Amino acid sequence: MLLQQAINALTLGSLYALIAIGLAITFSILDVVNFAQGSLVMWGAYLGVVFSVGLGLGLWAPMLGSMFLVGLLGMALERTALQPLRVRNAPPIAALLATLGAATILDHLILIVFGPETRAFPSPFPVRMVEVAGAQISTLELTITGIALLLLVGLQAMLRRTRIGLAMRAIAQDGRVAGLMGIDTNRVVALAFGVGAAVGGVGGVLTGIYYNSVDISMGYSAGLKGFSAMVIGGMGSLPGAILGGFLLGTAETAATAAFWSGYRDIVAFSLLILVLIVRPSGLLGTPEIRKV
Amino acid sequence: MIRERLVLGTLLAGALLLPAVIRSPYVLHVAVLAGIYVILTLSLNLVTGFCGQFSLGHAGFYGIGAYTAALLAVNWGSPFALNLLASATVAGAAGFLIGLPTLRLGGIYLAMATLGFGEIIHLILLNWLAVTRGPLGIPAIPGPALLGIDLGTPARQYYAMLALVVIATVVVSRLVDSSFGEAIQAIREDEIAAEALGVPTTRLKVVTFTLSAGLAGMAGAFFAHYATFVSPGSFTLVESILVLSLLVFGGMGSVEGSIAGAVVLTVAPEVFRFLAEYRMVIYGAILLGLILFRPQGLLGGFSLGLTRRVA
Repeated sequence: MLLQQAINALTLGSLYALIAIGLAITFSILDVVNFAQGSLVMWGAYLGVVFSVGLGLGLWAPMLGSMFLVGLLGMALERTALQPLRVRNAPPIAALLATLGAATILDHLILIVFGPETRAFPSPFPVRMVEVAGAQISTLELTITGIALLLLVGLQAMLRRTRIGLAMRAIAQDGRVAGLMGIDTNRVVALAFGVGAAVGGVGGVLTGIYYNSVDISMGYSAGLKGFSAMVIGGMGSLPGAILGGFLLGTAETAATAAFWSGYRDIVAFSLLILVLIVRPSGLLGTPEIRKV
Repeated sequence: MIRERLVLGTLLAGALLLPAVIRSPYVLHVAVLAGIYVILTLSLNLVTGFCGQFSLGHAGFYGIGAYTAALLAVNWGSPFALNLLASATVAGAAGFLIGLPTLRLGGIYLAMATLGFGEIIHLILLNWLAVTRGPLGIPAIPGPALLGIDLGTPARQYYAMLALVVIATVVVSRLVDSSFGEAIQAIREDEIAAEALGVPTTRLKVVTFTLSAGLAGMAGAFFAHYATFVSPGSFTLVESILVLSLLVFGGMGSVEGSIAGAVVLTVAPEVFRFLAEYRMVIYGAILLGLILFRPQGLLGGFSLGLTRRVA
């Protein structure tokens, strides 16, 4: 029973971690909390439905397709909504508002195209139950967790081992100096934003398959859970986002088991506020020093 | 100066004469809604526009106010005027309790914390079935009445709203022009410099947050009595973002802007009803466009002399 719950927590946690890590990449490199991340997650989920249910393309093609298209959408968003603000040196809060505006547009475009009704997202492969140490695990949960972990490892590798990853880390440290060192900051920032969006898009597809459906409010809740996970782990810290996602998944699973599901979300936000009050930099973040 | 007074007087006279000229209950209904949003926007302006502290949880205080009034009126038959005060007090107290631990956080951290609190308030309204009836909401709230006079007609409700808007505008303008207002604007401009000059920054931020939450709560009480029905769905992050859009549209740190922004963006969707589902897309585009091309808001430096001009 405990193992069963632990597996639920792990699956939920890996979904949250994927959404949070997209947010964390954007925040670490641009210092912007992307309020459109939930909308991008939802776009990923709906594109997944189109490819998987509409065109019958199975699991991998819809996931890669969503990842690519949502990544492009994210880059377009960065170009139109954020880059002009960066050039103008606008206060960070302007960028927050710009992503809010973009989120409103993206959400309602989904509503116009797909309508308000919930859409089924059946698993693209037959789901079987596997018995591990007395607990029943579905192949669906295994696949979701596996893909999420694979992506998280891949992202870390990209950031640590490739030239573009090095450029991203350099910009995260100091964008101006990185520019002076010959890094095309605008291109790298747009790419980083695209990567964050693409990860969110995959998160959307997996969330849709996990709940067997997509609906117009899923971006809202996915975005909020992603924020909570990122803040708990430490704003802009990638390992933090992963840790935060798994902590959140565990706390919610425990709350659902102990009380009832209505209070699940209260646990998430209480954890968010508790961390902000006790340790605003999050569990794995570095404390920010206020400078004159 | 004289011209400003003249424009202000004309606008006020126009607002006073509106029910005499247009008898359509629908127009007056939109006007009352616009009034509620003017108060909410003024409330957010106080804390975000003037004090520079981002709140993404204002729908929570609005909701606390609405439910306080609804519960008092339905369970104990408490009168409208008393409920306005009670809601302002309860929402203000909530603002104080939430502001105390979180206002030491700056910028984006405060925004995330208030977002969390706003969502928790919404979830409590949704799940505390014994008191709030959850998603069913609270129906049959008595309409606004004052000193035994039933404000049942659309015109009377409109005048009650107008009175409340004028009071809120005067209070916020005087507050902004006081030494307290100067201090909170100093916090917005440079918190560390303000602190160095002896401004008790945390205390003033908490006071501003409390006042702002109280004002939002009062708007909630009016809404509850006016709509005669409240449900948790009206008090989500979406509502907080809407009010923030109104504020940005009108221009942060401008009392005139809050009024104009709230009125224009409440009336515009009604006028553009034929655009149906594209309305919200256009809303988002307006918000985005303003931030990109006109960050000072629609009215920018325009002033009617409601507050002193700060160089």
